[in-house]
Amino acid sequence: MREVFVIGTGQSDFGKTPERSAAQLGREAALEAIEDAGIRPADLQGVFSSRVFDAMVTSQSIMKDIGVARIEMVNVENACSGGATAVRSLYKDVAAGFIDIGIAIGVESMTTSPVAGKLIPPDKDDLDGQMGLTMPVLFALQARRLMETHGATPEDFAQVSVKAHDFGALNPRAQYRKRFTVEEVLGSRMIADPITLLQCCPNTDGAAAVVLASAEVAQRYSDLPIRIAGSALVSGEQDFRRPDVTSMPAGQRAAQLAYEQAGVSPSDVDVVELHDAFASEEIVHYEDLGLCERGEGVDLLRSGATSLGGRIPVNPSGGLLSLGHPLAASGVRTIADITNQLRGRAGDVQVPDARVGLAQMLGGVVNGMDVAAASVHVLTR
Amino acid sequence: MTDTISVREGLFRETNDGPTLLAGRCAQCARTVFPATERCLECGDDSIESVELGAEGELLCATVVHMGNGRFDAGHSVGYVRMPHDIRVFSQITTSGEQPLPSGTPMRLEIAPLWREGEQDVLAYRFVPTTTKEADDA
Ligand SMILES: [Zn+2]
Repeated sequence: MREVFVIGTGQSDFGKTPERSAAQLGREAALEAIEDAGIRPADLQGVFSSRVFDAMVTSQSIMKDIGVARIEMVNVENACSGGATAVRSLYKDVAAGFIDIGIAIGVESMTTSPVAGKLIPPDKDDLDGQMGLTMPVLFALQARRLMETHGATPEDFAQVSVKAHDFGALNPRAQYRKRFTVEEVLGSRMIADPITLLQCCPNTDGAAAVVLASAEVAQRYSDLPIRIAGSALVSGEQDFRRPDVTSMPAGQRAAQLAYEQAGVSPSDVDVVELHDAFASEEIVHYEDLGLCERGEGVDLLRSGATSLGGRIPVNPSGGLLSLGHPLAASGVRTIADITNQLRGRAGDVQVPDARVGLAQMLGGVVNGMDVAAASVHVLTR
Repeated sequence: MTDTISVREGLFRETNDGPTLLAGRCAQCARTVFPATERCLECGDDSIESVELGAEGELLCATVVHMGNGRFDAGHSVGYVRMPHDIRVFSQITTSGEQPLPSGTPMRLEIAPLWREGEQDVLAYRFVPTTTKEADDA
C-alpha cells in the first residue's frame, strides 16, 4: 500500500443559504481545495462525493462546471459519516495505486432538503424510531446515564457548548460566531432533558473538500503535505452487544484501527475534531477515542485539557455546535480542519506545533444498532 | 367502532396474567432478542422460539421530551427499560412527573393505543412506574 497525503483543503462558508444549490456549495469548496493544492482541475483522476438528502450524481453535478469530466466519479452516502466515507474511499484508491490524485467532497443543503426545519424522520421499519427515538432523545438518554454513572452535571454539558462557541467565534467559516455563558446555554429552551437548544448543533448548508495524492505527486505540488497515517471506517453492531449506553463501541473500534495503522497512541495526538451534534456526546468520545481512561471524560473536560491551550484541544474549529452541521460535509470538514492545524494555518485557533491530529465522524442511527457508521482518520505532519 | 392495528405484529400479547412483550430465543445458542428476528443475530440459526418477557422491568434511564413530533405531544417521557434476558427496551413512559424518573424505578408494561393513523388507533407498548409516589416525587 502506498502512502497518501492531503495536499489541498477547501470549504464553503457554513450557514443557511437556501438561495445556493448543493452543486454551487460543492463547487466553491472543490475550487478552493484545487487552488490550495496548486493543481489544475484537469489533473484530477478521481472524484468521490457524498450527500445525504436529494443526492443524485453529486460528483458530476459539482465537477462539470469546473471542467472535469470523463474520469471515474463515485457518489457515496453514509449519513453524517458520508464525507469521511468519501475521503476514505479516495484514500483507498490512491493507496492501492488505481490513481495518483483525486478529490473528495462532502456537501449538504439542509435548508432546501425534505427535512428542512424538521427532525429527520424515522424509517418505516425502524421500530424505536416509530416509538419516538429521535436523535435528541437518543443523546438525552445517554446524557442522563452520564449523570448517573459519571457524575456529569448539566453545567458540564453546557461547558462543552460554551467551549465550542468560544472557538467558533474565532472561525470566519462558522454559522454562529457568538459566545455564550453556561447560564445562557442552560437557560435556552429545553429540548430533551438535560439537552437545551444551545447544546444541539444547527442544521446547516455547506461543503468541504480535500485533494489527496500519492507521495510522488504530493512532493511535486506541496511544501507541506499531510500524511493520512491511519484511516478506518466501521459499522455499528447490534445494540444488545452494547452493555453500556455511555459508550459508542463503533467509534471506539474505528479509533483503535486508525491508531494501530498509524502507529500512534492516543497520548501522541495534539488536536482532535469530532462529532459533537449534541454537547454531552463529546464526553463519551473523549473516552472512546482513548483521550482519557474510561469513566474520566468529565474530569478531562473540567481540567481544561480539551480547551485551547490545554493538553489535547478538541474541536478548535468550533465543532458542529457552532460551525453547524451540513451532514455529509462534516466528515470532510473535520479532516480539512485537522490538515490546516498540522500545516500551522489554523489562524486564531491554531494549536501550537501540532504534529498529530485526529478527525472522527459518526453517522446514522438504525433501529437496534449503536450507530450506523463511524470513521476515524489520524493525520501526521 | 374504531379499528385498531398493532404498530407491528408479534411484539406483545395479552395473557391471563396481563400483558407481555414477546422476544425471540434461538434454540441453537439461546440468544434472546427483542423484537424477534427470523434468524438468530448471533449464530444465524433459523429455529427461533417465542419467549414471554413478562410485564415487569426496571428503568435504566429516562428523559422528558419538550418537543412534540406529531405523534407524541411536548412533555412526553421516554426511556430505556431493562427486561429479563438482558434486554433493553426503548419505550414511551407514562408519568405525571416534570423531571425524568430516576434510574432503577420499577416499571410495568401497558398495551394501549398510542397514536392514530388515519381512522385507526395504533396499539403499542409503554411502561408505567409501579409506585405512583416515586413518579410524583421525581
Ligand atoms: Zn443463535
